[in-house]
Amino acid sequence: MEKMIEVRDVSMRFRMANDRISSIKEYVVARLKGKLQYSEFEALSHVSFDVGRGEVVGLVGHNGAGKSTLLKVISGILKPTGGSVAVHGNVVPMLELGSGFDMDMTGRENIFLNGAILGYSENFLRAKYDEIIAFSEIGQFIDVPLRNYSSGMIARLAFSIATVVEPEILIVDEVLSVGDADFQEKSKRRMMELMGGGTTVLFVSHSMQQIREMCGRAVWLEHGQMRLCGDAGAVCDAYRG
Amino acid sequence: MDWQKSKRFLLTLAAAYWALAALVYFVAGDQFHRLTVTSDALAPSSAVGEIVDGMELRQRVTLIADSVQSVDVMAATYGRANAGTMRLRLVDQQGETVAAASCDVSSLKESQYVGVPFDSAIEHRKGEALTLVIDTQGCLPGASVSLYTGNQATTGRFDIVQNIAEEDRYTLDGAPGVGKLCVRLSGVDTLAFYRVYWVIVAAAFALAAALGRYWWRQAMRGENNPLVSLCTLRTRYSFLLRQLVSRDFKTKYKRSALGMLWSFLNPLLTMAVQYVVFSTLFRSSTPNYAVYLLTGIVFFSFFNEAASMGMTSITGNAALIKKVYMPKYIYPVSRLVSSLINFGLSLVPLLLVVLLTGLPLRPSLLLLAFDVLCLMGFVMGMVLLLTTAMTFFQDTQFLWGVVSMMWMYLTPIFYMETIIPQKLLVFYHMNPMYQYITFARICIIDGVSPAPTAYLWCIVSSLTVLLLGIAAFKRHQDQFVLYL
Repeated sequence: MEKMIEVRDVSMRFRMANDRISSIKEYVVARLKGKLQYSEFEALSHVSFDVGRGEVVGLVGHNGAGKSTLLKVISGILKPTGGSVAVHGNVVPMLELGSGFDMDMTGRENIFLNGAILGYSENFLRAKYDEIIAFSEIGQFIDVPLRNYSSGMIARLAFSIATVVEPEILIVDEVLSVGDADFQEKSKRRMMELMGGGTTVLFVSHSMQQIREMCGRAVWLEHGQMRLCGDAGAVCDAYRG
Repeated sequence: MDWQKSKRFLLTLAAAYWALAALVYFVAGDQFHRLTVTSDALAPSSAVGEIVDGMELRQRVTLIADSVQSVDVMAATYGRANAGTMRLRLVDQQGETVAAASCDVSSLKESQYVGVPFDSAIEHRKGEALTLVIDTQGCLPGASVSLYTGNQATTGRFDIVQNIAEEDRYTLDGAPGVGKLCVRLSGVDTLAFYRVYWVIVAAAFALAAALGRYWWRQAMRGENNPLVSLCTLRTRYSFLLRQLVSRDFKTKYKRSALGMLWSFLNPLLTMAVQYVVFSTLFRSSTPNYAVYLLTGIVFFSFFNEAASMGMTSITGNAALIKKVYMPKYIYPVSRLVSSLINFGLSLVPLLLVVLLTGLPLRPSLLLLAFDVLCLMGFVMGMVLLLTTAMTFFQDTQFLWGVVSMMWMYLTPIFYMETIIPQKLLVFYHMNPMYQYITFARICIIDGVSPAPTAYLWCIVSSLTVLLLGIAAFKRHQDQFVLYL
């Protein structure tokens, strides 16, 4: 099977100064006192796995296990301190919905801004513009500044922009539960559609039910280390048990 | 990477380079070829007394140019109509006349240098010391002029008393006087630069092309380098860049009634205030103070605005950087583009003031393209340095507030260069902003091209700061996200 994501021996070490130093004075003082020690924190250590084309892989683990860090490393936001990540194909990271939304701009303007940030081309956005508005159910509010939207409307708009594309690789960090019950149902269907359409998906969830439903395989992270990687059902059982 | 588009983009850049080189050559060519030089002038302090037939003045002078064409004299006319001819001869040590000039004394003006052309220019004797012999013909007592002498040199605001060596003093009928005659030589230097201009242009192009070719090959192997960044910025991220820039503008003028109009109004109002405040101090000493002032304001506020906006480009976009991957340089570049558009808009009121004050529109205005390009590189470099520093140390923005104020006062924006003490002038010349602003003023007000050295200074300062900025940014960009 063709590999889309190759994670090889990835480690991510954060250097935590005893207190984060963000001014020159603090830096000099700490340096003079000889107190400029750093404690190291290993968010990920030696994680390796592959994701093949069209696979849906779930990431499970407790809070602080390194799931989000791993997603950020794969999306290229963080550079790993050790090991390497190879990603073949265009990635749409959904670590947060509506990145870069500007509250003073209208919904229409934000569709283009956010779309550009997600890496869509201008032509693509123009072609999909109506589809985005229809899916988000924003209706006539599209020309109203975002500051007048309800939080549900913002989330719906954001979800619609993020999922209008059919990316080769989708990276999702618990963003499935937006809007009211109806919209949640709709967004879940959309996600299933995307996953069924041959998109490679890597996603984090705390709901074992979701993982079992959607994923073929799962990776279990604990304290930055990979505990288990394999069939989703088996990993969920092990994680629960 | 989109190879086809990238190739087109790079070819456009190359064409732009040659177009700019040709533009500079055709507009500034004459000034590259010939540089007008005038020897230092003395401040007049006293006069030699009426010069009539039979008197002879002698003054040692040095040929200051490759081709000396005229001698300027400052006469005292006693406020009356004088008649007769003044004869000026340059004599070498053997007593042979090298060149001669003569003028009707009625053409001389009180306390002003008046040029008297030699009958033939003195070529290729630069540096040689000759004696200027002055006498008159047909000048009778009561109807003749005098010449001023001085022993003080004017350097800006200060008159400095100079020690004049024995042999440099003038003599009147053989008797030595007190100071030097107020005469000066004017001529033209032929610059070698003219001949090597195209060689330099071609060499720089060859260098850039070689580097570009090397990087292109590297990019084909999938490696990352500045060329790839530049091309992807054009091909892949231009839509994003446009969106970020339009966001900057929309949020900048949100809920303001006049909106974009402020981009025009701001420099005009600043100029109006400073003009009222400073014009009594400086207006007399400079022609067209309004344009002088506005040029300084427009150029400096571009630098100031871009630096302070660009500085927060990383910290201000923290939310995005933490959640979406895109090349980090997009952020400072988008801020620079915003400031650049603002700068372009503020050039409109400048043009308006130029037209209103009656300055002609001359081809030298086109040279501003070169100036702005250098300024852009410099500002980009500063923005990259500042935003890198800012990400690690938030103090930078407060520190910069003070530094930029100092910088403003150290740049002749509202005051004249002439009030700067001669000794400190060399430090002023090291200020890149001084270079860019002076360049612009020469193009706009004097309507000529600056000297070749000005071009050199602009390019060197711009490239140095730009490369420093890129190096600092590149080195630290992977750590930015950890400090946000």
